[in-house]
Amino acid sequence: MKLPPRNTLSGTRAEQLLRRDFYGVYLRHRYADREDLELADATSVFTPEGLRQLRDYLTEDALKAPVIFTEHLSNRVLAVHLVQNTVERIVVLNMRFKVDPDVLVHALIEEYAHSQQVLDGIDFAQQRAQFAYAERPYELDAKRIATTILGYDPDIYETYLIREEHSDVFYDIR
Amino acid sequence: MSSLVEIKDSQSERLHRIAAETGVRPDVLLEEALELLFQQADREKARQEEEAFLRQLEEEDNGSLQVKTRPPLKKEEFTITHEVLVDTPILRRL
Repeated sequence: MKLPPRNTLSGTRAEQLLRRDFYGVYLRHRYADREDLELADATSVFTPEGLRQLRDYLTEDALKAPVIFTEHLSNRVLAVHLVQNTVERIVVLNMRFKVDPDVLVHALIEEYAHSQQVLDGIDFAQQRAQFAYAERPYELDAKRIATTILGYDPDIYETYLIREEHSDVFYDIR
Repeated sequence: MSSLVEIKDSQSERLHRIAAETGVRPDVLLEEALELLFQQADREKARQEEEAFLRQLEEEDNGSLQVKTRPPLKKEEFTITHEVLVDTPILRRL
């Protein structure tokens, strides 16, 4: 049986990795259905310690991806990484879930790792065609980086869906 | 540890009526009702703890974090290259 998500950063690994003002904006925005919100890049999300650890794996370019909070993702995805106009890389977070802070930071690190993979020219289409989701090398690599930085796999916490799915979700899993 | 509790006659009558209608024993119905009560109490406690933490974060906030609202993303304008999936979320209002 999984554990309920924790309510504060106290005692979490995320406490060392996430900026407190970021977490405040995240919590405030999560309480109600609001407009999409954009934060400039990884420096708006992670503490200096978090950024130091991310830089062991990722380039400055990868860390430049902004983060968007949105209501308009499906009930099956917590976060996505998207590419706009072929060069803009964006991390998008689904605000209709309550997750443990460690799950949140793990997902964000995963998406930044993926931003690096985009810059590295990984052939995602080929891996998608060849492997199931959990076996794709780029998925495994992004999860490995997130789990290494966080220190453990936080797949021990429940995820709470706190608002119903919108009729105009812009993305669902294929 | 077991407890003996008193309930009003009207509540007892209704409880037994529901038990007869559903085929579920009264003590099982009471256990289910208590479980709902405990979940509600847990949710309220969690909400209060989170809101107190949010107030603390807002007091600390020096306004250095740059955030802006933005128009909704349009699916025809981008390509999704990666997703973090959710494994059977539990519907839980805050």
